[in-house]
Amino acid sequence: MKRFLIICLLSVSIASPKIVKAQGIDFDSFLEAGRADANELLGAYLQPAFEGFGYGLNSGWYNTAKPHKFLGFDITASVSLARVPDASSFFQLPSGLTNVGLTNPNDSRQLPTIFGPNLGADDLPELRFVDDNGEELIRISAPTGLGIEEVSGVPFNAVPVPMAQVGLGLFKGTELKLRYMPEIDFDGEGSFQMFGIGVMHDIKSYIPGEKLLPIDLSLFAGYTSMTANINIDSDSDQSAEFDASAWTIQAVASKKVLFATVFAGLGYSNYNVDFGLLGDYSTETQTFNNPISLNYANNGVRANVGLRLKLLFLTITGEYAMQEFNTLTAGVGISIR
Amino acid sequence: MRKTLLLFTSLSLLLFGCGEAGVQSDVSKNIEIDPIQVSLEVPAILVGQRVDQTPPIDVSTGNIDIGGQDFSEYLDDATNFTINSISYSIEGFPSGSEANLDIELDIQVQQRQDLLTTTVANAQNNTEDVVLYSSGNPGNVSAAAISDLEQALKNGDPFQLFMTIVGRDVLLQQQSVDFSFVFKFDVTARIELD
Repeated sequence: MKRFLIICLLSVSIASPKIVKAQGIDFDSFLEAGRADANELLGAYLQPAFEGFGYGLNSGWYNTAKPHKFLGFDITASVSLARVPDASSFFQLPSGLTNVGLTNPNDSRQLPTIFGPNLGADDLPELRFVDDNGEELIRISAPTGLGIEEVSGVPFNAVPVPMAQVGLGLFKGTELKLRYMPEIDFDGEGSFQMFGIGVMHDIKSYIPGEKLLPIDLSLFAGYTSMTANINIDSDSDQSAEFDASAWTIQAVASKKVLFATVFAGLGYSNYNVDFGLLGDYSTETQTFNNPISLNYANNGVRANVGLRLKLLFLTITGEYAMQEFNTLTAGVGISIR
Repeated sequence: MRKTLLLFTSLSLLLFGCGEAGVQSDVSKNIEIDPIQVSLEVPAILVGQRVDQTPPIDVSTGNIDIGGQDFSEYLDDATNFTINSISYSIEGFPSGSEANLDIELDIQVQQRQDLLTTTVANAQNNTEDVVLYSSGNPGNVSAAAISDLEQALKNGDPFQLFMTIVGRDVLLQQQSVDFSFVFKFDVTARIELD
């Protein structure tokens, strides 16, 4: 039972086993309160992490509006930091919970999300879990945030999304971009695969007097999908599954001056993230099949600006995207033709 | 290591971990221990008549292992335990009979010591939880005994309760009435991981 919720947090707390353990303790009894309440609470607590990841997936696709020439290519690695808004540091206990409530109903404090500050037990609201008959099962201080901002070295809360991709020039001002990782199995402990495809097409050539335009103009469309599976307990057939997909359509403009290229984009982006725990999980009173199923989806306008420096074949890129989770991306790569 | 890598690669949601900051959590339970059975008796000749005082009755529990059983999974990481309250209710006191009860409650972790003394007025009416001790308002409860109890919880050591009960102003409709004390310990374990 305890392992069940530890895994929940494993999915987002990958770097610190101690924190995973602590959150496991906090969440240990969530499922005792029933499937619906557990999903509500976990969903709210983890929301900024998964949302940030969704926004981050749409970053780093391009660093110029000028597609490669035929068979020109680039290989680029990047890391995007999707900034978690301050408002996402806390959440209000969801209404409509049937088996979980505040021990003190008059406690007006909000609960930290996973990106909230790391608070001591005295500073956290206490949650009271009851069974279907209203009998108290346990009281637990609300799960604390991890205080990531305080210790990360980055002056803001952010969800990092690393990415690697290849761009290949085709014909008539068209460039194909690929993000691909075949399914990798980690000794039966889990698997991971990713696929992304993007197309950039030069539209400047469709504009009369294009030669007079001092900038490059393109349209870009990109789609990224990734799936990860983690075996929690092979003997019990328990696993966690993470599916994320995102797509974006952007109009991109850029201007190259010597070795520097300034670029900007405006368009629309969308993401969909699913996280689930699969298998049977037992509490003291019942067994739940596939107890956790979280979905996060959002869309909206996305605008970005960036700068690429190209030193011979080496490119260094910085990009800032404005969206609900503003995203800072840094990349490095090689680019030929 | 590989799982960490997998998680990192696949999810990459938190590169930074939580540094040196610890995480703290309180876990609280209101634990009901096994009922303590009591037989209150009067001489046959006094059935249906008020009796000023009955002879002392000594009862006790078996070993109570709250720390080791109800909080076992948290013991390794618990920095301290707090007893928030001790309450009791009386079950099974037969209707028509009445009694006040003078109670001396002792605990024994390693050695027996006084915890509290109290008077239960109208025992027959105490079917709902009555608070004997509250950390916010400890009254005359032995602070040393509470402290020893809390330490026993932290150590996962069992303890026992001993009660000496004297009936006062007793009116029984039968020579012997059986009822039980149900004690509840509301306990908080503070968990901390550095």
